[in-house]
Amino acid sequence: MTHDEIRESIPGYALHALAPEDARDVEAHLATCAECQRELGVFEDAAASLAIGFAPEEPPAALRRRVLDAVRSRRRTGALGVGWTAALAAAAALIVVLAGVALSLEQRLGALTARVDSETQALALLADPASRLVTLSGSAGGRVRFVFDPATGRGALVATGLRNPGSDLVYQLWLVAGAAPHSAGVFRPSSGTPVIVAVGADFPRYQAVAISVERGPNGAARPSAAPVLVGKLGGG
Amino acid sequence: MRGSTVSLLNAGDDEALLARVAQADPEAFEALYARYSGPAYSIAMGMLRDTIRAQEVTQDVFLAIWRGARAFDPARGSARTWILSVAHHKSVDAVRRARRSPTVPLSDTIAGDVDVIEEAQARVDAGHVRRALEALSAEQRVALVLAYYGGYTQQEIAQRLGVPLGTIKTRIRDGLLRLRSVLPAPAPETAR
Ligand SMILES: [Zn+2]
Repeated sequence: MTHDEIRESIPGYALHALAPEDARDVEAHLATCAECQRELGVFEDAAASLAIGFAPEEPPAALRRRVLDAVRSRRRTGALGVGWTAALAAAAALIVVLAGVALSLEQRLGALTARVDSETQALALLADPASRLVTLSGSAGGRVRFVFDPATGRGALVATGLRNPGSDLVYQLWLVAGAAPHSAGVFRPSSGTPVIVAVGADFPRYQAVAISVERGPNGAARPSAAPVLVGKLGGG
Repeated sequence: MRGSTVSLLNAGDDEALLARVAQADPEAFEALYARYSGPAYSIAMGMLRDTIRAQEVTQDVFLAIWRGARAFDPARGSARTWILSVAHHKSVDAVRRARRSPTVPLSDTIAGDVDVIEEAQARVDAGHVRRALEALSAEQRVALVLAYYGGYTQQEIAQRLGVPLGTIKTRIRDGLLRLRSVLPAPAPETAR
């Protein structure tokens, strides 16, 4: 999109009133355009002045403790290296596997860009001491882990050795909050290489990740069967 | 927590606090929490009407501040605007997720029967914001209220009102500029 087209969307962007794909376009342009950055500052100030229109509410005192603890535990995780060694080992193993993948990438680079992005995201998450690593257990075999950063909302499923679900079937990943699972994508196992599914979500809202077998190629709107793999996210 | 840390600071120190948070300074973070948890929680409660979700959003906001403080650029705006913008953004995202969720009856969505304009407008509390909004044309007011307090996208608003998207963009732009001239950005104390 051109500077003029983006400029028209800046006020809506300041109000968070753009569809996600439009917001991404604006962000990409903002990174390179000082004029639009200045303009955004003006509209963000105006938008912020609307905040006083909300009725004043006092947050519960317990929330302060939870927020400070959450921040503190993130710092401690980095310092003590809890989960960090395992994550690094996993990342190192993944890099070895990816080195093999890279050869075939040369031939089909364009089609595989999205996959490379997922792998990059998974690697970054695995290497980040603030990330959490959850191992899914159940009846589908293989080694399936979910790595995520609750603060940035970035996550990735890394699955190896899952058995083939059947020719017309796919694995579908769900984020579970209460009784309402949200689909986070479908995938099929590939022999020898890890399957990586990048997931962006507000992870503290969810209690678990689960995988069910659903009809391909698009999966289901809600799970049609009991999950074959489950991992607790430990959130509220 | 040292309660005195907060009271010794004044509004101009928000940028300094945020710079210290960017260096992972927990005391500065506590001071920012003391100052902005009220406004952030008020935004989340106003938009979500649910104490549990509002707390989740507020926690998200402060984790995002902790993690994102390094991305704050004082040349582009005040710390206060940045923090309130993060709080509004997280609240809007949560409202949209709640509307998408299958547990929310269809009548609560924009396609349903509730008068979304009334509902969004009911969230506007402070008298001076009401008066400032009255300085706008009715069309500008409806567009701004639906976007900021209702959490609807420009496309949804255009669809709802049956006018072209370009018209909504213009109303939002003109409305915000008009608002800016009648409603100066307040100090953080009055934000709650
Ligand atoms: Zn531009």
